[in-house]
Amino acid sequence: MKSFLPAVLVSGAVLALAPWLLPEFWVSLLMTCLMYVVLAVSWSMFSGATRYLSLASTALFGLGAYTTAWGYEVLPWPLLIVVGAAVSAAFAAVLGAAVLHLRGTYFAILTFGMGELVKHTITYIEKSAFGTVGRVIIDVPSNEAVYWTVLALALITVVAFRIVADSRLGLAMRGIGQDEQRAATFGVDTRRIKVMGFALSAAFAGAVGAAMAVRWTYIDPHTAFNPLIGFQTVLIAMVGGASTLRGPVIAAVALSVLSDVLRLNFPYFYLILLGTLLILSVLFMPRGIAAVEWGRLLGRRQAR
Amino acid sequence: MNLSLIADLAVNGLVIGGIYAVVAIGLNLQYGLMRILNIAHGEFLMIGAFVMFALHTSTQINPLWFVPVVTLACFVLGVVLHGLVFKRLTARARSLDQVEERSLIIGFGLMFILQNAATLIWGSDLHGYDFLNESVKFGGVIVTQNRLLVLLLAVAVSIGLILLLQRTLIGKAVRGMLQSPLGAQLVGVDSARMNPLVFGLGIAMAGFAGSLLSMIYEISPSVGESYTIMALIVITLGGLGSIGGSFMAAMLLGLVESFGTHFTNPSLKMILSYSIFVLVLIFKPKGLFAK
Amino acid sequence: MSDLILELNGVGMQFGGLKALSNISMRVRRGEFIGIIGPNGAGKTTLFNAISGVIPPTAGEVYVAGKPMRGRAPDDFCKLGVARTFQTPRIFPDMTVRDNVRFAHTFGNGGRQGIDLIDQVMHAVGMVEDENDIAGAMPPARQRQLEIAMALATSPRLLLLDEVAAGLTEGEVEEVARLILRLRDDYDLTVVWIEHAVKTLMNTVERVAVLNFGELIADGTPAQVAADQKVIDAYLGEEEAA
Repeated sequence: MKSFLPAVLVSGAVLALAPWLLPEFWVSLLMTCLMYVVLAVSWSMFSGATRYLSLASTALFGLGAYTTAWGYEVLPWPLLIVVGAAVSAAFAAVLGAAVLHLRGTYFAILTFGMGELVKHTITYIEKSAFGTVGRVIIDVPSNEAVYWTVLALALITVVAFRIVADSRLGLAMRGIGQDEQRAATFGVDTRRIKVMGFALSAAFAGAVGAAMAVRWTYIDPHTAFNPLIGFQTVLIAMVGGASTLRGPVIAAVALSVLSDVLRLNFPYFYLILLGTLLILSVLFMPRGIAAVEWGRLLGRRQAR
Repeated sequence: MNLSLIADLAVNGLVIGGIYAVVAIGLNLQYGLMRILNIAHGEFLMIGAFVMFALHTSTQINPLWFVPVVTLACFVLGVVLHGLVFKRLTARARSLDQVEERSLIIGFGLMFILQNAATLIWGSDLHGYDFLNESVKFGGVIVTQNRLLVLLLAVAVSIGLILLLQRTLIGKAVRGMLQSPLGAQLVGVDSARMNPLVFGLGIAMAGFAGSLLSMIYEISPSVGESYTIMALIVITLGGLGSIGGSFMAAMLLGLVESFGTHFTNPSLKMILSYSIFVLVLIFKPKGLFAK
Repeated sequence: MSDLILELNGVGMQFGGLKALSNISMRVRRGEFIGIIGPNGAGKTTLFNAISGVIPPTAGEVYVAGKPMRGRAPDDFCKLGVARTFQTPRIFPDMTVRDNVRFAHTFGNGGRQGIDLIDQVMHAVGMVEDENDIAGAMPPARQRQLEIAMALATSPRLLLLDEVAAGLTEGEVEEVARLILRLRDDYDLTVVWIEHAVKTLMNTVERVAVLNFGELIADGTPAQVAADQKVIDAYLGEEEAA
């Protein structure tokens, strides 16, 4: 922790200068990148440790976004971010309580459909209770304000990851990931730990959803619950290395750059490439880029 | 509430259930045997539907001729996919749990690849064709011929497969492997040869269901996912690894969906299905039909 | 009754058509050192699963320290002082030796003893120099030692050892037996020990229970059991052949 916290703060300070130093396009790119840092690192917090792979990021992010959509006239935006975090955490807690005491299979199945389920539910509610399809947000915060907020969330998430990893909760989750039944024989209340861990990681997804929502002046279920968000979250975390911190961060940066180069011009090709990348990564680098011993790999080649 | 409405909903439910059954049985074979959780399964239904659509609309030949073609093509695709990807996965994983975990992520990637490849080729709009649209009276109910045909074919194939598993030697080998992979190997079942075949069979089932689906519904590259979800719910309800259970659960779910969404709202279909899923997991986690 | 640490009442375990355990009844008092022997497949490990909450019995009752354990999860067994090792060692492969012991202590000790216990138990099984090794990379024999350290770190009352001397030479087995005796005295434990090295076991323990085909066919002192014809027929004949 000693060198960690200052490093994070310094990086944060440097990144905070971006709106003054870089053109808006780059700031935008950085913002998306930081959003994925929040999503992927918080995903790894729970799923990387316990190996209960959640496919619910789309739903959790979207719930946060809709917290802002519904609450924007009523509450100040910073508070909405907190509420968004709470909403997603509560949702995750309910999901978790329902199936986390069973095998990871059922958790994956349940979370898989959550994005679509919540999207349909919100669409239904919007139509029947409010008679609307989407919502417009007026009086949005400035781009800089949003950027700094998302940057702050990213820094908090990174620090939180470290704190959790070093904590009892983190140790318990790692034990669950390596041998759940064994962890139970050493006194771990596995059900409680899993629900807590999942809810905690969901809070971050909800928070960043609530924060990012103000970037779209028009919000509808289609944009808020975009399945690509969940997909890229899992991709970044797994390719980067879900049990580490630097893995997802590096992968988030790499992916944002790649996405920017390819997505606008070749959107379908881009997604096919991502899917292929994910499959190759699971087959050949199952622990992610961060776990590959680059030094040894390179060292060997020199020795020849 | 009249009898004809009930009969109508019932037939509709059975048609839906029939498709679910074929898809779910395919998924269950892959999962029950190899713990491969192929969440891209529904995408193969979508591919089967699109290939059928393409073949029929370009040649104008009766789609029924293409059903075996599409099914066989999907079988081959499945075997190739197994050899390229899943065989490597099962070889490198250190436990079955890891196989399951990793196959989930692979399936996730595969899903995006297939959906986007289909969009690239055919666009994201709905496509459909007309086939046997005329209605016919069947047991007092008025139903279109194509739906009737789909129902009969789906049920026939499902039951046929179940009988195959129970009566033939190969079927018994597969059932043995489903119950105990190690035990099956000890009595001489060659899982290295059977795994790709069973996996291919599972994909073939999905493709078969897709080819049938294209006859009665319009399709788009995004239809696959909801069938994957339904198949996953069905195999949970029926009991993981129980093929007969999947069949019964699929029919049941089809009926529930047909009646349930008629009396509430079609967009609540997913909530209904997932609620059943969660309730079953809470009260009967081994499946509805477990002893 | 308060010194009864474990009681089994008609415990049975049925998997489909297979009866792995039938009608097992026994009582274990605090401080006893019991050996469990029996041919392969007799149900010894299944018995351990039943009394540690890993696989709950399908029939009968298990009481730990007088409390009924029906429907309780493994972590409840741990809180009541049950600790066990597994035939194939189950440690946390990606953690260091020290972290493994720390894990057991953090969640299993329940405040009975402070963190000095971690160093103490590693010392007791002789793993101090290896404390930073990755557990999964160690040979099984060392992993078994680690498992014992982890079990001790939970300050258990009842220690269940499942074939901790597997694959060792006769001399090494006797070392293990001596270690167990020492630990039993140093940590005030009740020990139940499954082992295939019947000779050494019989020379070490005070009481022997014999399982065969899921049934308890004998339960007494080593001398009594060695003379029991049922046991000789079922098991000792096989042991001599091996």
